[in-house]
Amino acid sequence: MGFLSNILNLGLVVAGIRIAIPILLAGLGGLFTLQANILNIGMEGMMLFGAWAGVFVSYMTGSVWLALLAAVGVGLLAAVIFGLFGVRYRCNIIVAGMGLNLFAGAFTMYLLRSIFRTRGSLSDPRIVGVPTLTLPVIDKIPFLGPLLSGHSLLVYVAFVLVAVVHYFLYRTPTGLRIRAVGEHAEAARSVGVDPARVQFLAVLISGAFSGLAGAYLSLAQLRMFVENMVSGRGFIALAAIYFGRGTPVGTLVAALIFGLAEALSMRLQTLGFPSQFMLMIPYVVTVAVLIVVSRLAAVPRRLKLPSFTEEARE
Amino acid sequence: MWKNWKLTALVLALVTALTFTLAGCGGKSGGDAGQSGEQTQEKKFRVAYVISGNLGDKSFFDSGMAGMERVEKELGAEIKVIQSVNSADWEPNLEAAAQDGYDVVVVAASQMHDALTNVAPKYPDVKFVYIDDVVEGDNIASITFAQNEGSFLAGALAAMMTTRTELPGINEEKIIGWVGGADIAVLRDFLTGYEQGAKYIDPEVKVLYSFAGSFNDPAKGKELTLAQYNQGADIVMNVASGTGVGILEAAKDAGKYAIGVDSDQDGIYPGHILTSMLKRVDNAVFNQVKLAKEGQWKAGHFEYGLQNGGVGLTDMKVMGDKIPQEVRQKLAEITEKIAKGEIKVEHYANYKVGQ
Repeated sequence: MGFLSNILNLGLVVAGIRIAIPILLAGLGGLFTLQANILNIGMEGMMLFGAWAGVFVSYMTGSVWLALLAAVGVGLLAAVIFGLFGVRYRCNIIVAGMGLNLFAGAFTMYLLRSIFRTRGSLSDPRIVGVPTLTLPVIDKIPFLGPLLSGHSLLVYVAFVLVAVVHYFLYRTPTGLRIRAVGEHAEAARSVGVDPARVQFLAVLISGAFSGLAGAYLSLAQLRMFVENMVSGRGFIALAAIYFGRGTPVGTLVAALIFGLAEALSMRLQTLGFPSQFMLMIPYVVTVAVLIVVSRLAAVPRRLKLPSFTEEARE
Repeated sequence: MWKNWKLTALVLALVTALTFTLAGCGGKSGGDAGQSGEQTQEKKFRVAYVISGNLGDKSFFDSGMAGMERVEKELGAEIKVIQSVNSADWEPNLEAAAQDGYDVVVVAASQMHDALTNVAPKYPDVKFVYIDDVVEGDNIASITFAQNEGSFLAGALAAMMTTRTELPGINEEKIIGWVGGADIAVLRDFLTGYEQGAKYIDPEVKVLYSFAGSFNDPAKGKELTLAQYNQGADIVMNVASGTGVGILEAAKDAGKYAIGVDSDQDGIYPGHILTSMLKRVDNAVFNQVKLAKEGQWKAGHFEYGLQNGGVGLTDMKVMGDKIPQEVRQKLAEITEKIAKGEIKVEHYANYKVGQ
């Protein structure tokens, strides 16, 4: 049993949380686009831009706060591009999203080479990371201390944002409008809501959150930029949103399950199980839970299949 | 068509230039006897370096270039570099170099496989030196590196250091780690050597290993490394390119140790990277060109290992006296034994050289 206690310990949970956060952050923004009935596959690119902007500004100014601001700003900028093509000019939303992802990968690579004259990765002591937070009293408690204290500041921000997003989505007029547009664009229009504008807003929110998620990767989990370092987390975030059926709490649960499954698979690998199967675990778990969830509850109409923005076009 | 035009123009320009040079020499020596005329016949030894990427990677291509610079200085050869990241340029570049009559054309890296297969048979007089992969041919020397031998040294070093609890961050447990990019045969070959090296020092040492499944996911590399530290490892070897930068950072954050790979990564987080396992492309390039100049060059497949300086560890200057003299001595001893063949380092069973 020695090896089990080596694996199933507090370190596993803490690692799970660290892995879940970028997915949670991107998912919290992305769920607005799902609620507004937009298939947002551009989060991957938005995150990569955010990761780049964070590292770049942190390196240049030495201020992590400016860096986070820049990451959110650049995420917004990427969202404007995605929104212009995908919502405003109604081009195929998959093409717009994939286009953004490819553009982000190539453009950040170009910037890395032209500004820093380096290939592959940029890690430098000048890059200031997001500080970690030690909670004063709690960190003395035996079990809860290491679980709750000593995380990166952005981890706490992410959990707070779950509540904020929940409030915004279900308790404010704008949140209601976003949900209404996704539920039935025609009905929303009949009471004077412009579906395209509301959808654009949803895309912008997603961009800001994705930018922050990217900065978490490059400034909190790591302190470096590596070409294509997002590595599919934008798509995992998309899965988490669907898994959580567009709700903030559901997305949180999905992100945590994925994070824990991934942390577990990393530890199982060292026991000598074939890496290919272990690397599958997080995805298999995600799919399995998705199936169970969809069986348990009747899926609302808008979540069955993305119908792009067709209704909004009328 | 355009490519051919460019090629034709290039060749014409070079031929013209060559004609003028020869004419110039001939003109000067014309009044004298035929003596200096004969000297110009004995033309300079010329070497081209054709690469499927750009210089400046601080790793593979730059290492090869360092070898080329030695060729220029020590062998007095004329060198030329042709670089392009664009796969459509590789074959024309190679063809241009071959047509231009270079004595030796050094070709890197393995992506040039098809280009070399097509070009080499057309120029039987040109000697091709192909780095990091194997193409068969009467005028091709294919060079691969014995990563298992270099990893053996890294594993031996890790096994010796994992019991030195006087170093901060080293625990009592005899556990060391290894994190790779994708689960492919070449990386398994690294692992085989690393494990064998560790067991050579102490059969009780346990080697944890995991694969990230990607070469550009530093966050995952970092988490995998932290997981191994969590399970008792205190030294983790990185064989994961972009993912590996996260491995090195994990060592710094956790106050533990890592081992770098391919290029000298010791200085990235000073004090946390014990050493780096190097592929000495420079040594291989220099050695091959030297053989060609001395007329002893042979076609075929050659593996550069410890005995001919193809792989090795850094001098561990950055760690200084934290790595004790006796450990360094033991490593030197092992290096000699491997070079002499007294220690036989195994390859991964499914690893075919030149794959």
